[in-house]
Amino acid sequence: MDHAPGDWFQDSYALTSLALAPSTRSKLQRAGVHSARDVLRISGNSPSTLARECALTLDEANDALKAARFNGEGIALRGARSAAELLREERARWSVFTFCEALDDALGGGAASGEITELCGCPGIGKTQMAMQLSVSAQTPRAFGGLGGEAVYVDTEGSFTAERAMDMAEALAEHLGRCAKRCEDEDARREMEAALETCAPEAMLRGIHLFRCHEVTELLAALETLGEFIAERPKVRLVVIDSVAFHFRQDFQDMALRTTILSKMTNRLMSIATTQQVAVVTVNQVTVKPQRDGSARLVPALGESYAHACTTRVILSWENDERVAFVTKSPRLPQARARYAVTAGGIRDVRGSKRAAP
Amino acid sequence: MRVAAAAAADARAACVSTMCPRIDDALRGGVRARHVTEIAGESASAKTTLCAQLAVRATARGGAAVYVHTDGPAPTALMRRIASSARFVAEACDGDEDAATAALERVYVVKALGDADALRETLTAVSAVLRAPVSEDAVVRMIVVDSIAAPFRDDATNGGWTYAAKRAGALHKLTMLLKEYATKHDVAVVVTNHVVDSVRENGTGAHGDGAVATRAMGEFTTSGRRVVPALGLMWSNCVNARLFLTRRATRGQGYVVGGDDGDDGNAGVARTLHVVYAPHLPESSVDFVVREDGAWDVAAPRPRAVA
Repeated sequence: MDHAPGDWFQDSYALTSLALAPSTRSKLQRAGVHSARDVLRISGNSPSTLARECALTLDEANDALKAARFNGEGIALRGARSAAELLREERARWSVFTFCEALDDALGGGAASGEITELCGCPGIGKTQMAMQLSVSAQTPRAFGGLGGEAVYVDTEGSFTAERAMDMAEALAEHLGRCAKRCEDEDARREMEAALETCAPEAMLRGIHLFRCHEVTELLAALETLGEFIAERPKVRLVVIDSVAFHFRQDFQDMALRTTILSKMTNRLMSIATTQQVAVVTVNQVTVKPQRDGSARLVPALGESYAHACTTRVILSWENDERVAFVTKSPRLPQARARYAVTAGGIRDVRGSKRAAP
Repeated sequence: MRVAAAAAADARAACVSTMCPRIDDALRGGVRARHVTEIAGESASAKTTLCAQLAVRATARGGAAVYVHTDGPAPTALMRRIASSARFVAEACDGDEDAATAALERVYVVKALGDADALRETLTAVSAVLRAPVSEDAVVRMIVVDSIAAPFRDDATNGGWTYAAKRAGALHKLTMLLKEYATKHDVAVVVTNHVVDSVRENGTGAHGDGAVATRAMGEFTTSGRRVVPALGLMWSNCVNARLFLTRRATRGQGYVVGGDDGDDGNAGVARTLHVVYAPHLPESSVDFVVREDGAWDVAAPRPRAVA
C-alpha cells in the first residue's frame, strides 16, 4: 500500500477504534495487538501471516487488514491532512478576478476558490455590481487566462439586473477582442479567436444560473440543493449570495435561532466552497451600531459571531466621492485598500491609478 | 432557477415609461418590473405627480395599476388630467381617446390610512387582484405606495433605538411582501418616501461614519435644506433603486401655485430628478417641470449637483 505523506498518524489508531467484528477483535487482542500499526506490522501486509500469528481465519484476517488499512479514516481524524498537502492544494487554487487590478492585487488575485469572500457596504456602493462583475468575469475563456466557468447567483433582494450583466458581458467580450488583436504569438491568437466565438455576451449570460429566494426557507432550500446542482454542472466556478443580510436581519424574533440558522448556512457555504472548489462570494449590508457615547458607527450587519463566517471580508465604502475597498479580514492577505470605479462596462480601476496608494 | 439570458429578454419588455423621454433614458426605459423603486423628495417635490403618471401609464394596452395612498386624498383629478392629455393618448393608446378614457378604470385606488399594520393588511389584500386579474385586459403591471413613510411618521424623531428596531422590522415585512409581488407577478413597484434634515452633529445622528452613510443614502439640497431620505439606512437597503426629487425656487421665496414653466406666467420652481442608486443605472440627474397634465422633462441638461 502506498503511504501518502499524511497517513502516518492513521496507523496509530487503537484497535478498538477499528470497525471489526467483536470476535475478530478479541482474537487480535488476545494475540497482543493494540493498534492498526501492530496489525500492519505483524502481517507484513499478508493476510495469511496475520491469520497464522493471531489465530484468525483467512477471512477474518482479510477483514482486519482491510480495516487497519482503510477504516481508520472512518473515524476521528477522517480526512485530516498535513499542512504541506494543504499548501500544495492552495497553490493550485484559482481566483475569480474583479477586473479592478488594484482590488485584485489586494485580494491576491480576486475571489479565491475554496473560500468565502464577503462584500459589505452601504446601499449604492456597488456590492451588487461587484457580484455581477464576478459572475461575468468567471466566464473569461481559458485562452485568455480566465476560468472558462459558469456562475450561480442566488438573489435574495431582487437586485440582479440581467440588462446590467449584459452591459458587463458586452464590455468583457469587447475587451477580450482587443486582447486577441494585440496578442503577438500566432498560436495563442488563433486559440483566443476560437475562444471568442464561444463567449458571445448572450452565451455568458446563459452561464449565470439565477436563483431568486424570497424567504429564509427558500434560501436555505436553495443552498441545500446547491451542492448537487454544482456537481451536475462542473463548470460552475463561483457562487454568489446577494445578499445574506436581507432575510436574516429582520425575519427573526429569536436571536438564538437566527445564530443557529446563520451558522448552519455558513457551514453549508463553506462545504460547498471546499468540496466543489468554487469561490463563494457573499454580500452583506452595513448597519448603524450605537456606541456608548451616543454616537454611532457603521458596521457589517449580522453581528460579531457571523464575522467569523467569511474567510475574507472586504468593506466597500465612500471616501469623499470615490469608492474604496478595504480588505479587513483575511488569513492570508495583509490589510489593504484599493480604489475602484463602477463604470458603464462594470467594475474597473480608477482612471489614472493602476496601483492602489499604500 | 432561471438563466440570466432569459431574464435579460424579459427585462427589456417590462418597463413602465414615465412619459418623459429624458427621464426614461436615465432609467433605461422607465421604472423596471421586478424592482422596488423608491422616489424620495420633500413635500411638493412632485412625487405624487410622478406616481400618478406612472400608474396611468401602466394601464396602457391591457395593463392595470394599484395605487395605495397613505397620506392625503388620492390624486384622482390629476390622474384624469394625465389620462386625457394628448401625450398619453398618443403614447399609450395609439391615439384612441376612448381607450384613454377607459384607462382610468384600471387604476385601482386603495386607501390605507393609519399605521404600518394597516398598510400591510391593505397590501396583503392586493394579492387577490394580482393572482386573479379583473379581466384579461387588466393585468396589474404596477403597484404604487404613496407614501411608505407616512405610517411611520408619528414618532420617528423621538423614538430612540428601540423604536428604530421595531420600525425596521415592520419595514422589512412590507418589503418582503412588495418584493414577492414584484417578482412573482412581474410587477413594477414604486414607493415614495419623505425626507429628513441631514443631521450630523446631534446624538441620534451618525457622526464619524455619518458622512459615509449620508453619502450612501443620497444627500441633496432641496429648497435650500440639506436632506436625506427618511426611514434610515436599513430601509435604504430594502429598495432596489432610489430616485430623489429636488426643487429650488428660482424666483422669490416660497411655493408657487400652478404650473412651473410659464404657461401662466408663474414660472418659479426648478425641479430635478436624481438617480441615487440602482443596480442597472449610473448616477445621473434630469431636470423636469410640472404642468397641469403631469411632469415633463426639460430639454437643456444640467450637470449633476455634487451630493
